[in-house]
Amino acid sequence: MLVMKFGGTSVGSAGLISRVAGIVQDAKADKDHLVVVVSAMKGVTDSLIEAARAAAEGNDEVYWGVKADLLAKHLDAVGELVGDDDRVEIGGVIEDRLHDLERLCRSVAVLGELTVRSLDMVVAIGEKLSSIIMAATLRTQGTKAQAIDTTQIVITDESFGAANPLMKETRVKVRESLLPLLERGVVPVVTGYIGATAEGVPTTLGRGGSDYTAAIIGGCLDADEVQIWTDVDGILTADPKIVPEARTLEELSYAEAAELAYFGADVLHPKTIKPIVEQSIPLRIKNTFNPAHPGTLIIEKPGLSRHITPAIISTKDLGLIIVAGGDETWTPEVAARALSRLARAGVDVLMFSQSFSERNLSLVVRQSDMEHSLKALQREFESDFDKGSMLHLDVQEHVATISMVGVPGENGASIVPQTFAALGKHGTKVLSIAQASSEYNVSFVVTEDEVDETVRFLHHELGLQGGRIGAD
Amino acid sequence: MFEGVFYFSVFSYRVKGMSYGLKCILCGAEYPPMEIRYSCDCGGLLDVAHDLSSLRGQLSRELFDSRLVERTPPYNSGVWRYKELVLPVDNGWMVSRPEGNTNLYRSPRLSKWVGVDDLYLKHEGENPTGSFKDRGMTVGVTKAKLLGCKAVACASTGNTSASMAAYAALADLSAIVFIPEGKVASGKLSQALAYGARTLEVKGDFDVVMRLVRQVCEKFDIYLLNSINPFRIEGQKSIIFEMLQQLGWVAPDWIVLPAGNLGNVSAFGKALWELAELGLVERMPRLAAVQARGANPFYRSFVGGFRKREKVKAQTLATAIRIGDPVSYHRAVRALRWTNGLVVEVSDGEIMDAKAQIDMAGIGCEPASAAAVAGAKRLVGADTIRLGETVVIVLTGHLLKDPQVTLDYHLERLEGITPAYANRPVLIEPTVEAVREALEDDL
Repeated sequence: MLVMKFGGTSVGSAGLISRVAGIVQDAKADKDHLVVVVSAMKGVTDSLIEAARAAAEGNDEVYWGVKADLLAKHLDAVGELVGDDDRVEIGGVIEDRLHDLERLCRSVAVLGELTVRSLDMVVAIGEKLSSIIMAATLRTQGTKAQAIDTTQIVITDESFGAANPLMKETRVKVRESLLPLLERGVVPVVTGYIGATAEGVPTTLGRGGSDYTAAIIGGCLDADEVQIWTDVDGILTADPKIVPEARTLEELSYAEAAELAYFGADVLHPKTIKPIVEQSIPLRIKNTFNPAHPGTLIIEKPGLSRHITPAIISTKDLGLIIVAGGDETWTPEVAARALSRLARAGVDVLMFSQSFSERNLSLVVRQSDMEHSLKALQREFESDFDKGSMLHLDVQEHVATISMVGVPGENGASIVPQTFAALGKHGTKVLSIAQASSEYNVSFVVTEDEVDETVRFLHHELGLQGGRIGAD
Repeated sequence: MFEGVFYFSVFSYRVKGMSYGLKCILCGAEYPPMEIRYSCDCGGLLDVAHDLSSLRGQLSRELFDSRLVERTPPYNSGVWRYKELVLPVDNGWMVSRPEGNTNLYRSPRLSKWVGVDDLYLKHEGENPTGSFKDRGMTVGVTKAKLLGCKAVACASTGNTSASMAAYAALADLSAIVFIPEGKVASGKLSQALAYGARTLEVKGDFDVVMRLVRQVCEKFDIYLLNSINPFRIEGQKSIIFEMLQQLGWVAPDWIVLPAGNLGNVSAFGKALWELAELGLVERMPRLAAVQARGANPFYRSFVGGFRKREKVKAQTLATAIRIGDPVSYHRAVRALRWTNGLVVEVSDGEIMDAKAQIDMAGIGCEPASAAAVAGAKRLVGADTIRLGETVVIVLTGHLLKDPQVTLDYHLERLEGITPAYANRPVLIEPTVEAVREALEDDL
């Protein structure tokens, strides 16, 4: 049993939906039991959010405009993809769903407020539309398919905007609805990203949640493999927009993939791995635009003969705050206070480190959170400053982090020493370093204007490019 | 930047009476515009620095667009249309064919082959002498006249000499051309000879010739017109101005170009930076410079994070970019930084297959130009260029510049290269039956 998830870029246009239908049909020839999970067409989720926010501000024009645009976009796709028998009916369903959008926006406008709960109801429409069109396209092209709305089968808690699935209940419902369809040779086309509470109130799984849906469905149905189809060949050794020579990693362990996802490898929703790991289901990243490429396989124990092939993840637009102090004033309490104050202020501290003898703590936050963070820390240590202590805050804006993620190879050699040797050779100014004892990843902070060149240098120096770029 | 090298931006400059001056990109030293010099005393390359703060008030998209209807000099030229950002001289001094006004093509065939829907090709081979060099030469030769020089010279792999010879003839100046022995395509050599340049074939490769010509120009008071001369760069900037004008001033996501001596990479970066400063363009496209694998010093420097300026012994059949130690290295590094650009390399085989596709699209180009298309295809394959992005590829020279290599490709005579798209002529008996047999597949 195979689960195939297609993201927004892969279903971004009528042409692409048709291409995906072709890929699904090829897969069906091989694997009889097949479930497809789809995201909304590219750009639709953002438009829906825009509409909802505008409605809350009383801006009717905007959400009418969005409704009109989405209607045109989806009906055009229907016109191109869906056969005569279905077309009218499907067109009607599309119109109904978008009428829901208008109704919801009107309610939001009347209330003058957009709650996370209401937002979830609005954005859920995107996936409903795409799944209906995809199922209809498959039918038109000769494959039995049926659109399934996960608000009926994926049961979650009430954390609107980033809901957590209740796996026991979900398993029952998913198996109940989908197994009979699979037995009859029908391909269920399931909405990604959305679910509902036990009371039936729609929820969403968080940005990029369609991957998570695929993993959940795969887990519930004891899938043989879950495939995430995207617009890159797989998980690469670096961002190809920075390093064209980046190579596709053939195999990764669950642990590495989880680290990469967390650090923003941008290919996997961070929570996707959990349902997969629990049942040791293989996860494969594939490229919709290059289906022949094997992609990246994520499994429990990748081939032991594999050399260390770390991946380099870089994140820009960050800021560095250093809480520093002289001898007497520094206590372990200072670090604890700083971190808990920022946590209370709702700031995501992406990385922090404190070295052994130096009395200072470096914190990495998003550049957009800098002002807020500094204010919070100023307030926290106000009394210390007043008492004339040596404690002070140093700031460096516009920094970036580079993380090397990779399991030690069979000879036990880790990427850490190689990375530092390379950095030394390059002469990059490293502002801060952090490594958890797992040896799976080491992260360091550099200035934003040095990051791309440093990534390229590391990639080249560590020999990550392998063969020729652009060739399979 | 890790050698402690810091590049100066080209900001406002004002000299009494002239709105531009010369500024060193390494040390920032300034020189008067009428001084004959090609580099700073510190060894750094020079920029022509315009007075952008006062130009900001004068220049606009509408102004440039309004000049498109002009049929007379100077605005009929695709270079002098942007006069204020190129060389603000009195019209009487300009030596102009006119040049520029090159087409921006779309080709479904090439879009499919490269893998990008929004693909444009700007064909600089449509300039008067068949390459983009004319844009730099019109400015360089104009400057030579302004300075009262009687002779101009250059080291060349072909296109520069052809262009310089033509413009020198137009301006009634003596032209002296230095070429590396045996390594210039026949079309180009014939041009230099035809336009009347005194041609010196030097026993050595391009890099040897380049060093020689610099020494000669200092010694004999001849005006040097290689792209080390910052006025050449100013003219080449107009490729970007014209391209953006043709795209309605909407910047593409990528601009891909072949890279040899790095004159264009430098010029494109400077042009984009100036347009951004003047508010004429909203965002920076990314520059992708493509080198031939056998002549890839800039690529090597790039993958090493520009830690070191690499040099190689160049070897490629794309002779226009057969350069091992590019003169404009620092300007080009700066350009890539300004535009978040990249460098890629392609093999001679990929270049020739790309050229065959461009030729078969009815557009045609010389080998070096095709490197850019091969590079774009590579970047699409690497997921660096993504679906939905707009890409403009700059074709630098006309198909007729190198007829020999075109023939050799289709007759399968290129050593080490198996052509994917050979179009072999067939010898037949003079009978209708023989024709029918030969054309079986087509008819």
